[in-house]
Amino acid sequence: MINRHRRHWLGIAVARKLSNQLRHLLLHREKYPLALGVIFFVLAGHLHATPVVPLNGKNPTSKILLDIPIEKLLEVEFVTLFKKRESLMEAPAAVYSLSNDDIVRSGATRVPDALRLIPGLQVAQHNANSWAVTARGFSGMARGISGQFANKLLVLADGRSVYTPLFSGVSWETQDFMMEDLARVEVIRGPGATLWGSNAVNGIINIVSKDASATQGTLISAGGGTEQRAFTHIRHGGKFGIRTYYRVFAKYLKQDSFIDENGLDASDDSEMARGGFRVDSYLTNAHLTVQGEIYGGEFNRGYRAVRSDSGPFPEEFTYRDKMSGGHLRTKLHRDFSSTSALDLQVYFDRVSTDEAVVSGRINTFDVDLNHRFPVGERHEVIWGTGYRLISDRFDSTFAFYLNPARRNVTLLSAFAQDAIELLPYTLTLTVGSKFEHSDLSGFVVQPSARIRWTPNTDQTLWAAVSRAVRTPSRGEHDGRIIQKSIEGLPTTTFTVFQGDEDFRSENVISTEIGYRRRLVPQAMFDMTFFYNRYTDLQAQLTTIPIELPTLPNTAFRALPVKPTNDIKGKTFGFELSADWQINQRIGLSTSYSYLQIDLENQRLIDDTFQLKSTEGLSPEHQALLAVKYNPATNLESDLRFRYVGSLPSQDVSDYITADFRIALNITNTLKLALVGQNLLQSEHFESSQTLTSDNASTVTRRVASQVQRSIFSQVTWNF
Amino acid sequence: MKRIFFLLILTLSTAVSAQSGASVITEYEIKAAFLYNFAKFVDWPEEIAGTDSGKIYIGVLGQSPFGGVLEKIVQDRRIDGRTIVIKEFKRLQELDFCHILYISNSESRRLRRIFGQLSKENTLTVGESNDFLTKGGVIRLVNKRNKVRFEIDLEAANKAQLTISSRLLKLAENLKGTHTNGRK
Repeated sequence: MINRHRRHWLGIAVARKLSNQLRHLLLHREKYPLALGVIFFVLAGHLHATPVVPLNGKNPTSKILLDIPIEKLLEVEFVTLFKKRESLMEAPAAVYSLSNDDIVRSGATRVPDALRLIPGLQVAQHNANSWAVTARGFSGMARGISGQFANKLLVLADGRSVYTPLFSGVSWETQDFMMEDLARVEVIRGPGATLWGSNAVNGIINIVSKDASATQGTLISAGGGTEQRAFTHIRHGGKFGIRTYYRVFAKYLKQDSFIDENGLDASDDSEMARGGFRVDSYLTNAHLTVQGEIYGGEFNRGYRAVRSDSGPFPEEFTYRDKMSGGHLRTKLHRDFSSTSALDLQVYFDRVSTDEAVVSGRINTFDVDLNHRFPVGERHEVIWGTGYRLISDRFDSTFAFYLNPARRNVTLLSAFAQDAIELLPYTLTLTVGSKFEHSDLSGFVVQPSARIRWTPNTDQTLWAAVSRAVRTPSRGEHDGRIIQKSIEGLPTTTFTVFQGDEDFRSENVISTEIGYRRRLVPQAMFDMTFFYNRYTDLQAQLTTIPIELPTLPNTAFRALPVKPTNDIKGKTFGFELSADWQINQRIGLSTSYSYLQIDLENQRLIDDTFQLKSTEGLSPEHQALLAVKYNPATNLESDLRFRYVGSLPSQDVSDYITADFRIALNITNTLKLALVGQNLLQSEHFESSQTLTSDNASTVTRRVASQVQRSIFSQVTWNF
Repeated sequence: MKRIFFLLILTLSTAVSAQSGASVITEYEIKAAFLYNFAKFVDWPEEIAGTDSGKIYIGVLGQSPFGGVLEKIVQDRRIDGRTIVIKEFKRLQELDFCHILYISNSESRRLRRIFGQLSKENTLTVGESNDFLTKGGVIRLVNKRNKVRFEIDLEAANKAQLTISSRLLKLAENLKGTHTNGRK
């Protein structure tokens, strides 16, 4: 009696203490967002889950399946959170895929943030509206006409290349999507040039949106928070007749600014709006897709660049960059049988840009044909051909011009690949090559050979040797950009990046070995080792001073710096990842990647600074741990820890941070989500504008800012 | 740093502690249960030459996606007093009679040849490739939102002289042809 009484009081004391702690946490919640998240997670974790099939204690679950009536068996759900990844189990390449569920649950409002989940991908946010994304090294801010940045990764959005030919890279700020309507984001690390063509040197990202048939109904989503100030997504999907589906959508996003190195507002806020449609028509044995979109955005950015002839050289200023564009694509997929199909795609894409230093527009027209068919029982052949016309026009300013200012570049390509079954279903050899001709790069051959051994459905061992090139950008070929003046000289002398038509493609020969294994039906791990040998990488060679010919003021002199193919090097690394779907409620993903870059000059010139600065642009180590957890059927939660190693040449230190998301389905149609990003510190640098030492190759850059912790909430109504 | 490791351990322990609560059912456990049910709801002709009438043979041709699950849960079960025997065939040449033959996707390019060889047999063929029925298969398993469904081609069933229970026919997603073999 007394004992029970005492225990009762003890219980109250403990509860009081806990509630005080909790109240403290709640009162100071801005200080402990993560702690609150973890408490939720742990509490939720101890709730009991109800099995789908009743357990009777004696038999393992699987035996019970035989005793339930077949009508019920039709309703038993199997575990598949990693299904998308499972279908890639046998791929003879380092492939990883995020499903729609992964993307939505990442809490990312922009694709680069979702890409942080992919093993071996390096994502660095430069400021509140610029990102650099790469795989296997050569990261850095993807901007600067001189093209020494994240330029070795090709990105396709629904089959349309968004890799810009102006500076070799991707303007991630304008690559935005309705995250709810993405089917998947598929990433292949390593060369993919045999199928996808030039610039797929270190990898390819395929962003694939859902068929219109999978986005029927209306979706309205709105939210806002500390960094994502306000966003709205609206989509409506319907049907024309019985075989044609459509959707129309619009998205608006207003992003707050980050802070600079002194903790002051970095004035890099932005605003973007877009709208578009997609129509999918299912004809007999054929699937026709037509989609289009227009967008426009304004992005405030800090610059350190030469802007006009009145100086200073360089000048620090903020400019509101405006970018807009649109595209229209149509694709016909025709099935002849389950192993034979034809794809024909035509698209037009327009990008207009009015930025601090560069303004102009690029029109791209592209036709692409692929045909896949079996030959006998052992060969699966795929071949294709493509035509692309890139037509651009840029404004000449004091700091920047292209000569000629307008240019049409024609790219012709063809490829063929044969997958040969050497031993029935256990050993397959895939050989193929791409052949390309462009006015800027000349004739390019990009072959590959891949061998795959699948002793059973639970494991795949593969190896590949492939060649890929990064073709010269328009800037490297024809551009001129004034960078800064050299101090201490009597006449104003600028270092000027001067494009060179003798600059050729950069090459890689990549050797990869990978192994994938399913440990239990719902857990698998994947590892890839790679060794890349690069030649003809871009170096910047300072030549003799000249007078600037086209300048109105002849008092200026120039020290031209031109791109030359003078760096070679090796990279070595590995990527490990494991996914474990513990049960219907809990999934764990973890990954680690290691990268080592070793560059040297190809000829007798010695430019250690440039070598070191390129080597030090990418982290040596990266790691990720992500937990997906559904405490109840209407509640999903996600917690993720990320580690990114330091960038020595940019003076950016390593960081570990966490992201978190909780979403509650209030009704079948209404969903409420709370997302926290970069939670472990109030701000951190992921990139920098300062190279650790200064020399002639310093180029026009956007100023970097510190990524801030962010929290936002979102309501989604889907009906 | 210490705090982070603490959080990591907490998260992992939560994940593991929550694991004990729920059961895991995988795709091929369900599909194995379907093969067992097909054996229950299909009748074969009275006499099939050279077979032991006390046994039902379920075969897997090609690279087995069941990974031991089939043996684990179906082997030694009895249907109307007959025991189930699981057989695996790496290649077509090794094939001998089965009441039910699951044809793995690894064989999808060889379907025509396989069905050619099976044309005189009373075998219930089960597969998953898109054109499994059009090439001559009897039952195709289809995944729909993490659940397993099936389609039946009755013409192929008739050809193999199989009698399929109406209970099974009623549940099929997609029924091709009409049944001529009558019902037990």
